[in-house]
Amino acid sequence: MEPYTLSLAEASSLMRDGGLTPTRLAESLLDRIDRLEPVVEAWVTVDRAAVMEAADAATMEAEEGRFRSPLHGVPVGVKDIFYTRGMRTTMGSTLYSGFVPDRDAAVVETLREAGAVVLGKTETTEFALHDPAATRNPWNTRHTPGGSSSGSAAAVSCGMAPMALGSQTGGSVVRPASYCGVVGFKPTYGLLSRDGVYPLSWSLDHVGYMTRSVEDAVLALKTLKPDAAPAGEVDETPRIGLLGGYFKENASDEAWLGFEQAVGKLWGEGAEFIDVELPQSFGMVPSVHRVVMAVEAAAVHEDGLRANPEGYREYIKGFVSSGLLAPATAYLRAQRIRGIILRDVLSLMGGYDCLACPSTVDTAPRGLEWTGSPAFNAPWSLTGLPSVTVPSGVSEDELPLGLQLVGRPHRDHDLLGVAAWCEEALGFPEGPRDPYTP
Amino acid sequence: MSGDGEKEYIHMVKETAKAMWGPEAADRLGEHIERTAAAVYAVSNYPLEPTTEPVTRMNPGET
Repeated sequence: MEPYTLSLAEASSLMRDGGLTPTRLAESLLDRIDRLEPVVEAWVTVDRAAVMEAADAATMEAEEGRFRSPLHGVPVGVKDIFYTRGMRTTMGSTLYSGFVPDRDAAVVETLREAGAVVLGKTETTEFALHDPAATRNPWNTRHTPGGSSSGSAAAVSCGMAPMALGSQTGGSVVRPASYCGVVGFKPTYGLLSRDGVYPLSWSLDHVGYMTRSVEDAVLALKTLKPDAAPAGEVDETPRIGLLGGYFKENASDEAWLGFEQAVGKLWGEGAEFIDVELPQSFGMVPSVHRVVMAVEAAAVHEDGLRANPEGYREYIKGFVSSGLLAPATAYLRAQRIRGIILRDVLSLMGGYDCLACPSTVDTAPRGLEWTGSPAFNAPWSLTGLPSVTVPSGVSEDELPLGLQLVGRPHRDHDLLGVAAWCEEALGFPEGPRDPYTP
Repeated sequence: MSGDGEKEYIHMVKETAKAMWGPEAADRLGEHIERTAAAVYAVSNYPLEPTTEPVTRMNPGET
């Protein structure tokens, strides 16, 4: 068995038992990257020497019986908008192609302190917005892996890394994770620090990550945020609010059928599902999200765009420009409506362990020009509620489908508890994929 | 604004873009300008009580 095939939990456990060293795990993952990167193109930077130095240090500590955390010695991919000390951080932009931060993002610092090994920087769309990277979906390399955390999702999916950091402003963690058949977790807004993460829209940006199992996602959260509220008492089988309306109307036939099949399977295992009617205010989600994001992105990029318009690709240029034209009162109105949407959604959640809907509108689109629609993820970025995608099946053309679960604010471990139950009931294989090119 | 209010508003924003960046650039950015202007229009026409405060510091645990 090659170490790259191990989940984070398996690798961590084996290292504690002396059956694996961080050095051996890093070597295996680097070999996997060497083999697959020409096809998948998930990485911007992999510094082999730095990886091996950190892995060797973790090995020495392990030999002394010192394990800093469950992530000790575990290599982790980092989206290329997270500052990494001494390592190029490009934001997916030519403007930053030579930028080397002198500090780590807070979450990267936490990872290093926990003994994790920074494996490298993963591809992102330009400034985590729209214009895509070259990364391909391991399930079918003619399809997008999704974005903006494109490289993180693809790398975890094909066994180049057991975990990778991402960020989500619209759907940039959950969507690519679903497209690539892995677990993607976007915690409650603000639970993981955004310090040192290049912003797109301050009040919408979330730090999250991808793994190949919910168990791994739990271990990562315990490491990254040890004081997150622990899981509360839960019934043996979950009670889940089923979201139709907006989600049913906008899902492709295949995505909705896949969702119904997943729900049927979970129901067969004892989960209770109750239809939930979305509040009237929910219809404002796309407009409110658009206004908040366009205006905040405009504020982030206004100076840069003025100083160097040629340094921006067309989509972000247009998006930022559109935000510059929005009145201040419209932005404030959007933030006022946002509070109403949040209040109304929270009022739906009483009595349920979580809400459920498909993770994406459809499976990963063919081609690399577009990273897909965030329409099913943006509501949870807007409301700041924790959400997670669990692989739930495959489409007719062998692309993954995901089940998205949404929890109460700051009850992230509760949500992951339900996700773990669903994952087991759905029985989706969690092993890494070899890239497939038809 | 009523009736064709949305169209009128989008037209007005596009004219502003032309005045700011010139007709060629405004045309190139047109789709984005249109989509954001439509969202602004929708938001501007959503009825709100004066007591409804904006979310200024996101904390989804407190509403």
